[in-house]
Amino acid sequence: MHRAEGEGRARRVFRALLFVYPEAFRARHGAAMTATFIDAWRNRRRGRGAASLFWARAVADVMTEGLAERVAARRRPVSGPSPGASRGGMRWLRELVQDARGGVRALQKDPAFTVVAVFTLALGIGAPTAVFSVISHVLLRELPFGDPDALVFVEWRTGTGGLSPSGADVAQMRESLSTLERVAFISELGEASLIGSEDPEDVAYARVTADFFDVLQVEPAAGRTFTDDEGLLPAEGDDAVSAPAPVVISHSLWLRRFGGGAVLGASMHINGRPSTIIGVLPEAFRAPVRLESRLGAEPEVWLPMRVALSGLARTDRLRDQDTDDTGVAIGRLAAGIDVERARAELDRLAPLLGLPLDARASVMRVADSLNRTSRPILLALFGAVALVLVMACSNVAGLLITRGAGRRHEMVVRQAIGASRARVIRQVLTESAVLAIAGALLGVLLAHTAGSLLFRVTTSTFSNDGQPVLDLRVLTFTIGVTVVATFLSGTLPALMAARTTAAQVLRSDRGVAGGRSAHTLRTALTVSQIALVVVLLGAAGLVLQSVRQLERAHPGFVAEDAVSFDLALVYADRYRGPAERAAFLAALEERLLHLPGVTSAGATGGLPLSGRDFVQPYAVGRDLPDSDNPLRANFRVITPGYLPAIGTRIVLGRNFTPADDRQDRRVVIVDEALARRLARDGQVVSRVITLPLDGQWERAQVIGVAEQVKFDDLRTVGRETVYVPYRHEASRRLSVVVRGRTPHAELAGALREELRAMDPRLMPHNVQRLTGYVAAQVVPVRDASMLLSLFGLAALLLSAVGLYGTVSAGVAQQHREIGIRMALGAQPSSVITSLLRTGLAWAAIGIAAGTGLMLLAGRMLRALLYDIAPHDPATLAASAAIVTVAVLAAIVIPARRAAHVDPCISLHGD
Amino acid sequence: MHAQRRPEELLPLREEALWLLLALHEGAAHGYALMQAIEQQTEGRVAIQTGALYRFLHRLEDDGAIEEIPAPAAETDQRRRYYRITRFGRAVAAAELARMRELLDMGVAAGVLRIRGADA
Repeated sequence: MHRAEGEGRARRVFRALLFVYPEAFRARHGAAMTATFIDAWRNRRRGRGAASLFWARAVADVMTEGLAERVAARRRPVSGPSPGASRGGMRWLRELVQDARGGVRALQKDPAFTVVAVFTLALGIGAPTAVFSVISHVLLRELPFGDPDALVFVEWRTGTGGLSPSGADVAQMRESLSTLERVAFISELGEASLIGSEDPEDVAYARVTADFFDVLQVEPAAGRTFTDDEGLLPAEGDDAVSAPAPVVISHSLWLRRFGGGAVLGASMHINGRPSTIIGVLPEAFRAPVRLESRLGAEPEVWLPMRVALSGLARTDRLRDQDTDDTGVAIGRLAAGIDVERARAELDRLAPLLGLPLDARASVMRVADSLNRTSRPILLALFGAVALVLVMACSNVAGLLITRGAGRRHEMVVRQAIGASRARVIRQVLTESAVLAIAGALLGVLLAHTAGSLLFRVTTSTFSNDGQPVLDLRVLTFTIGVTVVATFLSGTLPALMAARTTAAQVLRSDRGVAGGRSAHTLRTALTVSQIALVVVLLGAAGLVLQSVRQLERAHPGFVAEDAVSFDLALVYADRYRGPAERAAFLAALEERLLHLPGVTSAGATGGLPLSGRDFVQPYAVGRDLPDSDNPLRANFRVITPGYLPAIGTRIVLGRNFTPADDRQDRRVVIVDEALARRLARDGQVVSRVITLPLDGQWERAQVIGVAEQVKFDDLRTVGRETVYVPYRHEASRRLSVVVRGRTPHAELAGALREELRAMDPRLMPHNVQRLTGYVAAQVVPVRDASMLLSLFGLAALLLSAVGLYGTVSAGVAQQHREIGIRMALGAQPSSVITSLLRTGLAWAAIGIAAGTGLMLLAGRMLRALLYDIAPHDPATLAASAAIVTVAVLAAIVIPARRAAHVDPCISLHGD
Repeated sequence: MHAQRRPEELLPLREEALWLLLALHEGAAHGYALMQAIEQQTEGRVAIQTGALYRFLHRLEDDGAIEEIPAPAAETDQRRRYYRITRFGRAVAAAELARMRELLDMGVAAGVLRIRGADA
């Protein structure tokens, strides 16, 4: 099966290559040629180098013969044997070396041309190489698991958002699914304090099912992973057993704390609990958790779950189970099962799990999921560098054509003394190959520097894991790009050279720039370059404006001067019920308010932009929500201090007070979106809505309206939101916001102290500025805009140089004509005007074409755009204006030179 | 049309064209078989690639030196095309070999080339 796939691919590639041949030839021999090629392919020599050589020869053969056939077909003598070159083993190589030597010699004679061409190609090849090295590192990276393509994340989606699976869901999946061979679960991600023989430190940890590493198919570097019975120890709790818990540690922790020495059986304390190290993970291992997850750092300590999965039910708002035990489910697809079938089976399972009626399963490959944010950005960048490559090649093609025009005599002589057309074509292609190889060498150097720079500025976007390297895959890619560059830049010049006949040369218009057709071709190239620049500049402009809009957008809260941290009130001895948890939070807020510089503090079940999602049904009025298709709102539990602390304004009515905790008179605050719905039939404040609270349907009165907050991301307008007093839905995991002008580090230190004083077991994790959540949204787009601008500028420069060259060559060619016109009394200004007019006409055509392309390409950018249409007229106009200015600048210099043509001198030249 | 032409009009033949005619002289064959036959006959010295091969076949066919024939019943791959040498093609090959023989004789006569065994 694998073989058939490879053969199909070889067949497709070869058929595509055949387009080099004239259509008639292809129609007559195409099928037979493909059959013959496939015969040869089947019998090719195996091995890495042999395969490359096979393809290199095949491509070279088809390209040269196809081009030669095209030239021959145009003015083919009625009869006569004149097929082009065909090389036998050594002769083929010998002539290649000969051509390459000739190419190098010819290029040495013309250093200015060579330097410009090589640098242009270095940019054209270096930029794609740099971007590809990041793509290779981020998107194509082999995940450090066995058969990673079979690993999937499983979660639920409702009409309004995502729902994490609970432990109980996973237990059910394990029992009844046949499409998922196994399912593992991460029940907890957090930060723990680690105390061993060394200084205590905070490390990220994950709590997983005992079979977690088996499902991922990860072998430990030392020791072992968990056994099944280690997942069955008694639950942790106030009087938990004191038997040490087994832990598996990361390679980095092993190096850092144990110097890479003996470690198995060593004990340490994790969050005050004794633990024994049973295994060390391999160096390459990375946790399969998404970057947007709550955890900022890679887990370094892995603990087994010690309660039965089935006991971890989803927090059911209608039957408060006092738990919130959802997590990350990772399944392994059974052999031969695709994502779609697994999803279908999970959909059938969903109704049995007590999920909302509209809940659907979402099954996503771990590999795809990890790259969800970086993929569109990288692909957009890749599109941009592909354009830069095309630009660079068309520039060099223009240079080669001009140069070729000056060497037409040489080409004619070569053909006269017996060189076949294929040979002439090959010679020109070899020259462009020499240029491309030199450019590639320089480009790889460039990419090596630029790639790590590119990666550093975009680390937040892609992955914080290692560095992209120029490995075999990247270099293979570069070789491919070099081949493409060779043909992109060399094909037209080669055809021009092969088409030249002695007769043409003899009757040709004189002048260094040579033939009219060369000039026409260069003009076409220039116009297409202008079009590409319009696209690149337009893309950069759109993304730049998106950044400005994003930075300017008001998210519905004030991110500056505030710090947040996450907290898990999981200890059953102190935080058993909602009342205890609410009391603890009130005490905590009280203490925090006494810290120097702190002006407000409050807690919530989930911060905006944190990726946490709580969507519940509700109804306006006293009736229960429509059970089939209820209204849904984003529920946020908050303490009275929260809204002031995060800076969300109350626009109508009042904020919560501690007195609102009463059970007999429920109150809520709604956001502007929900208020608009209420306002459709009456006033807003004091209206009643029905919603699930404390395990049953409750009626609550609206006491205030808060401004709208962008909870999900900065791009989307938030959905309707209901704020509920914390006491009524006292979740165990919460985030605390502290507002104050105190420096971040100082504030962070102080609040750790306060927490420790209240309960030493509590660890604040994910302590960060609120601006961090906003930056996480803006930074990727800003990085992309920076890179796109850079590519846009490079392209602008390239096209200006190309244009300058074309106009210069044109002027040189028209030297005589201009001389005659001036001898007949034309003013220098009229000469300049006429050149400018021509240039502007090119620019106009290029801009029109570029705008058309932009309208097509805009869709690729959508993932990066915010509050701006892909066809924004102002942006297109701006990039057109920049291009026009560059065009004028590139024309003025040669035009002035033309205006100073001395008729005597130019006519004397004859 | 071809019948009226004289084989000598096509001379000199490109080396590869001659190899192809000689290979086809042994019997009809398809493209890849020809590539292999030539490679074997020349012990790898001449290796024609697909792209060049079909340009030669195209010319030879246009010149009437070879012609396409239906594939034998045993052929499983429908896409393969079979060629055989025509009477004219044999004449061309013979004329080319005769020309070469003439050159060879001249070389020997001039003492440029010595035929091994002839000295002994």
